[in-house]
Amino acid sequence: MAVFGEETWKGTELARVLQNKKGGIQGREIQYVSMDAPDIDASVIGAERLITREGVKIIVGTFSSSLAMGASVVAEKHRVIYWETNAWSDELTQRGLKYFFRLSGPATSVGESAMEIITNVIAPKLGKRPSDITISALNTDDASGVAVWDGAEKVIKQKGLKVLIHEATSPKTVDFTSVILRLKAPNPDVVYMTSGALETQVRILRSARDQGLNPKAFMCGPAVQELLIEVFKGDANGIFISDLSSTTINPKGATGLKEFKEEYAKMYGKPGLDPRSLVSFSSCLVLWKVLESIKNPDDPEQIREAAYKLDLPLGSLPTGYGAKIAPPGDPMMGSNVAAFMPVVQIQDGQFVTIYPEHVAMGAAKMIPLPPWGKR
Amino acid sequence: MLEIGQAIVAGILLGGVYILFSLGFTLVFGVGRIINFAHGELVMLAMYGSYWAFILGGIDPIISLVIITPIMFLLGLVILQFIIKPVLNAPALNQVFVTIGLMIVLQSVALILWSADFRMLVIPYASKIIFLGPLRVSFTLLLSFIVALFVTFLLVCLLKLTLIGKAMRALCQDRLAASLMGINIHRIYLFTFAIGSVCAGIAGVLLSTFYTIFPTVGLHFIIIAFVVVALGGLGNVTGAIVGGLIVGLIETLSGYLISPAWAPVIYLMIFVIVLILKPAGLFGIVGAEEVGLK
Repeated sequence: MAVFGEETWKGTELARVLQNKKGGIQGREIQYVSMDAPDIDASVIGAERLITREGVKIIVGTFSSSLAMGASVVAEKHRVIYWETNAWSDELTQRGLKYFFRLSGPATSVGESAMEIITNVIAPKLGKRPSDITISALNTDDASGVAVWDGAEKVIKQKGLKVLIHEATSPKTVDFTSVILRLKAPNPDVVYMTSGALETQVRILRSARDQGLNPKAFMCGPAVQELLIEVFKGDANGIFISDLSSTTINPKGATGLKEFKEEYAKMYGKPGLDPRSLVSFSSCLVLWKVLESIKNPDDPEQIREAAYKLDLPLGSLPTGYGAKIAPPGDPMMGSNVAAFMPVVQIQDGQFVTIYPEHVAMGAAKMIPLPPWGKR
Repeated sequence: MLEIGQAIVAGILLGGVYILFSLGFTLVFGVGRIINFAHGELVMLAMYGSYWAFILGGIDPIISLVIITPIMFLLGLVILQFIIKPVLNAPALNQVFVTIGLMIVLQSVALILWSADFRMLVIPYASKIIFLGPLRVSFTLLLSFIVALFVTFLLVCLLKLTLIGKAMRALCQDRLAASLMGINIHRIYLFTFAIGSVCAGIAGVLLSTFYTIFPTVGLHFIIIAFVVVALGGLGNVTGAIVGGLIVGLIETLSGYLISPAWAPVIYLMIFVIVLILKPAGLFGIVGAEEVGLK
């Protein structure tokens, strides 16, 4: 098993422990062999080692689209199933890989969700038509940052939102002052920023605060949500985040969410707030279902066949997702088309899911957003 | 106009970060004529040191300098004694391979010990802003800049005012002659590398207050350090300051005036042009690799 990202690992490990308590898969205990990779080269070498030396039958991971990109090609070469839990670059499922499955949604839908909120929630609250809303946008130039922006741009064009300035920058940029000054200059209604390197989102926001960038709404891509509260405290209030499903969704629309929360807290001694653990946990649950449904869980062809037959309706999983894999020939072949990307808003130091409706816990507030220091 | 002023201030402060990172690197090259590719990894180790001191012991990064700098000094001694010394008299290419090897080993050790996850210190003063009139200055960047200047001052004092500094300068001018004058070359090499490692340690601790920490973080900075020291003149401390400020200013100003995506392209183009016109860098002397620190 390949893992990247502590929370991704925690969710994956929790799923394994719980399933083994229930008797494993067809009476066999699930075992992981873990591998950590800092870059694509290491992920490729690591995947090769996992398959050829450790003899793993299925690779589960990761967190990073870049790493999944490399490792999944190795899995394909060896006809080993690559069960992607969290990485979301659209490109991952656009390469026609036969043995690659991705249970979270694509990155473009993160950007799409964000723009839907700008169009349907923020614009009316500001008393403007969507076509009158102005946006300054920034994405990092990693695979995930670019893909999220592609999704956002699609909706921007459809709805006629006005992008005053759009910048792409490296997530390893030491100081974001220059780009923040560029975003600030046209005085936009909304600032949209997204990064594949989640901690980078915090550094960008910190720079935005340093430079007094005060739009009427801040919409962020994925972030280490707990870190936002820890760093910005009250100043985090009002910020919107479009990301993977988290434990803040409405449990009425997410089967098994309550159990996940309890078991996570029991195993790790704290609540599992980050979306990545929940999503990797749910993705593994689907894998267990697939493996339980076939005669030989070691046979990649049987796994493929069963995966394509999946048809779990929305709300079937702790993430609120369903499970339906886009078939061969589809542009999103291998991707779960029953996944979605919720939008949460930080309200009084809590994460409140406001979109989509079936998992929403509240309505958007603090529009227009008060300036830094007054939230 | 205010934005331009803000970008200039940000560029100067960013230059401070680059200076801090480059000082140890240029010192080791200047005196020892060793291109230490593992310098970034020493910085990375110090960043992790600062991180864990804060997480496990609640020790503020600035306070942790008291612990980390002596450790880095010892680490520098060990690295020179057991890894670099055997190839000191070998062709320069061997030293390059050894330090690249060390770089990869240290990255891998960090990966095994602390995983590839990005980490970040959350300290209260990281969010502090200082107002210089209408200009906003990040406290941690300002602190890095001041420390960079202070460390440079100490290095210059060490080189110019102390006996060991004189020996270091003698060594970089002519190793054989220095040896004939009774200077213990090996001891000077050890001391220089240890001081270079201390500089890396200070840079790492300060970087950890505002930058993300991950096993390959040094690789990102070492490329910039190369540009800074080659631009200023290899092995030249003053050159590192000027080089750092130039790169910082170009990066920030071009990032603001043109686009952040173009910033590295522009400073690298200027770097190439300067090297074509003045191959030894702005403050270097032709054949710096033979002449060394000034």
